[in-house]
Amino acid sequence: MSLRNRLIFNVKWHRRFGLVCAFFVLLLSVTGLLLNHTGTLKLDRIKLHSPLLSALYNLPSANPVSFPVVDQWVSHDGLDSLFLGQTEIAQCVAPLKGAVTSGGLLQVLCEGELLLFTVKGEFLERITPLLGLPEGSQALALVDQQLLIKTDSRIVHADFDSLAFHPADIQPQAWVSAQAPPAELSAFLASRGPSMDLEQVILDLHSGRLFGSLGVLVMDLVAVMLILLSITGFIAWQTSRKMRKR
Amino acid sequence: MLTRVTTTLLLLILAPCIWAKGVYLTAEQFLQQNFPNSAPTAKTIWLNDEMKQEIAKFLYRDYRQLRVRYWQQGPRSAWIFDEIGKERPITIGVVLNEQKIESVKILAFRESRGWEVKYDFFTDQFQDASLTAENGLSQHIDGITGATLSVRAVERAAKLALFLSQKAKEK
Repeated sequence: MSLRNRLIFNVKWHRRFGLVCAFFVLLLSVTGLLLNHTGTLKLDRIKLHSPLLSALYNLPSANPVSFPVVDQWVSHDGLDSLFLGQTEIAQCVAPLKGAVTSGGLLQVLCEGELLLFTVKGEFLERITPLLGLPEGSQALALVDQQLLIKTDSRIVHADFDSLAFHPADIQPQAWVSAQAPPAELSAFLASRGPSMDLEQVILDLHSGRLFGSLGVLVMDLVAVMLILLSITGFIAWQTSRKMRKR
Repeated sequence: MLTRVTTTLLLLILAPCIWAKGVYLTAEQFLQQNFPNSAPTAKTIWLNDEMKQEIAKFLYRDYRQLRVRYWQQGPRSAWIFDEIGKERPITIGVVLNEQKIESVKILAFRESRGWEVKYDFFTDQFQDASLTAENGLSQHIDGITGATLSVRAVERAAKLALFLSQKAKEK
């Protein structure tokens, strides 16, 4: 192949590889820059809610649950967040099993943990089975302002001063149960849905994993094309140099 | 034959990870071990905004809790915290004596890596550590390769116990 033909061949392919790669180079550069500063930008704290992301990540569907307490509603979005009205007050493990107020405290039972708040929703403390919460706690009830907890096999009353749970010989008329919240709160909880960290989405976009194994394959091809882009560019530059010398 | 060998090898490799996770001590057992003669008194310390701001500086995150429970008997106190290593909380118990660490125990470990922090060779390093003026630990704690985040979580819990104990004493 003559030098001129070699130059034309390389420039032609260099241009083709360049055009195909341009979009991906931009994508990789922008996502790479963002990932380099993920801590500063706090990308891991930004939650994305989208049906498309739910489908791409195969996220579990959420079942919001709400309990009325005095003139407010305590709700769980079915994922990890607990709300007083529409204000997120803590994170706890779904499902939400009960919420009551007594003695100036809001007491919330989630799966395997009892959370205490002020009535304004300020988080006080989290009581887990490790700290004495009976295993298999299922429901809450108030009898004479005394908190009762129903477990798999017994009923206990809680003494938060000494952090003790004693067997109770009282049977409440009813255990608090979940109720349908007002339409506005219901719509708010539905809009929460499953979420992904922005950092994880950018990372998966960078690697192509956001689109499964096909995405990874495409990114592999782009990587190969970038290598070829460098090689054709180098050969074209050398060939044109040789031609100029002649 | 090959399947058996592979399974055995896999089990040998994975066994430490599987066995390392879980609850080693309940709060009750932790308190009984450290206060064998009589049960300590359960107390709580309430946190104001100023204390929360100071705590946030060495925990590197907001501390949202309004009150913290602890157990006291004479000059000795016991504190239990959940600190996240990488993704899951590690439950850490700290016993103090006169504003110095007497012992540190891992009560529950839920992460998939970094369980080595439960061993005495690591937790013994905290003995006699106190809080510096900058809310740091008075002595250096050697890290563990592959368990950096768990090591930091235990260090944060130790600082938090010392800080809160100091504040409780001032009150």
